[in-house]
Amino acid sequence: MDTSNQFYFQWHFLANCNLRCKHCYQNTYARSELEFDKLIKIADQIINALKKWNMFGRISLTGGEPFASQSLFPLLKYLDASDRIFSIDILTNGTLITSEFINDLKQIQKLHQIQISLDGGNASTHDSVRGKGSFDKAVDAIRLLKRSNFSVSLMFTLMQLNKHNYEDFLNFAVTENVDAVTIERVTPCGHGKIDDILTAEEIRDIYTKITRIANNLPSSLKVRRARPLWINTANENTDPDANIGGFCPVGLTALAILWDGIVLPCRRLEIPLGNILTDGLFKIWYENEILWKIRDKDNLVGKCKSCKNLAYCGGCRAIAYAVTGNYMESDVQCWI
Amino acid sequence: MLDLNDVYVLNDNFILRSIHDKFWCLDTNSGDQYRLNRVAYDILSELHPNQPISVEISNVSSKYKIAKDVFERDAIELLSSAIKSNIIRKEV
Ligand SMILES: C[S@@+](CC[C@H](N)C(=O)[O-])C[C@H]1O[C@@H](n2cnc3c(N)ncnc32)[C@H](O)[C@@H]1O
Ligand code: SF4
Ligand code: SF4
Repeated sequence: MDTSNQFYFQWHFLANCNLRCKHCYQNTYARSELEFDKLIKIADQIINALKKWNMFGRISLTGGEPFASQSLFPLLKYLDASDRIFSIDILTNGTLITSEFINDLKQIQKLHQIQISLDGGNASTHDSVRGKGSFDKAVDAIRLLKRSNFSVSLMFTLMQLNKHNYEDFLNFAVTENVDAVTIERVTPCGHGKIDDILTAEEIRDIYTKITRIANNLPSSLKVRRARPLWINTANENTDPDANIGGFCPVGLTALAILWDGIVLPCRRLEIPLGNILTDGLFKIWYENEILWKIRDKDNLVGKCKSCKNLAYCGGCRAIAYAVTGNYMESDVQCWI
Repeated sequence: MLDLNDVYVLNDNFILRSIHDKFWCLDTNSGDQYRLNRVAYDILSELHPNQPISVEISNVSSKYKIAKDVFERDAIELLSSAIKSNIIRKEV
């Protein structure tokens, strides 16, 4: 599929969660959820916008913890039935996934991947972030899903608490034969604090090492690096199939929607743009000045603006905002 | 036929936006998008509740090196099609 035709929605359709991770960007874990008819109203706005724009949607359903919600499967089925949505992912902590869900998951034709958060390659590191016992449960879920032939990816959020453990994490991913891994930087928002983030030099060393390691990993394991900063490791790459470096689609072909309908440019860029239920998606997408500012690279300030790698990077606007208060500032974790 | 002494404004659900040399008129209700050229964008941007379109057309035309009568004809054509598409409305 032509990727210029794709739009990404990350939909946090509930806030409720069974864990309380130390870095979590959420400020609330409210148990109440939107009524199902309101979820459908949101889904219809997404589908309607895709039709209007002649685009196709990739949706990640997440929370909170999506498997804690009775609405998960009805919503999956509804989205699955739309010819405008071509791919659905579920982003989960994995701890509530049991064999009872397998049959229902199998019914979802467009389910592309289930992403499980793993913030360490062993129980002590992962549990230091996510709480005692959460590693074993996540591992059970990974094995159950792999045995049941689902595509599984792992998400490692890099922070001070687990920076020593990314190699164990990669080894774990190889051993468990998962399909993809994403290693992303913690954003200091919500429960995430400025002291949790790594220095630019630490990020340089870890990203460079990961690209070197990735050269020797089995080709069945995708190390996702089509994201800001990774381009600066491209000279270490020897794998012609690795897709290294990418300009973030924020403001262009991506949006995040929260449990109450609030729309953010990206889940980590915590600037509310409006509410999809009251303002409508078109009004938010067309009118909001913040989105128009982000869309124009000329508004960047600092070293990103004149960077030779701009087209393949652009820095992370969420990190810039969370640290400096200006979402057009340079990425504070860039080492070049 | 459009009367140049009339006042026209953008309907409330429409907004104009631009980045560099790209210009749009966007319908925040229906999601319709109209790609504009710079001149059309300038003309629609000039619409103002206390100014007849003759003033707007002459303001914008002074920015471009186009014969006044040619410019006026094109501007009227643009505004007429904007009325048809419900993008602008007459202020009474
Ligand atoms: C909010 S969770 C929702 C799904 C599920 N509860 C989970 O933990 O996977 C989605 C992902 O966001 C990550 N995340 C949470 N807070 C973050 C932060 N402050 N910065 C970056 N990523 C964060 C989590 O680690 C997780 O991988
Ligand atoms: S990161 Fe996920 S699992 Fe952890 S508290 Fe936040 S929503 Fe829950
Ligand atoms: S200066 Fe900005 S655009 Fe350039 S590599 Fe660093 S973060 Fe990326």
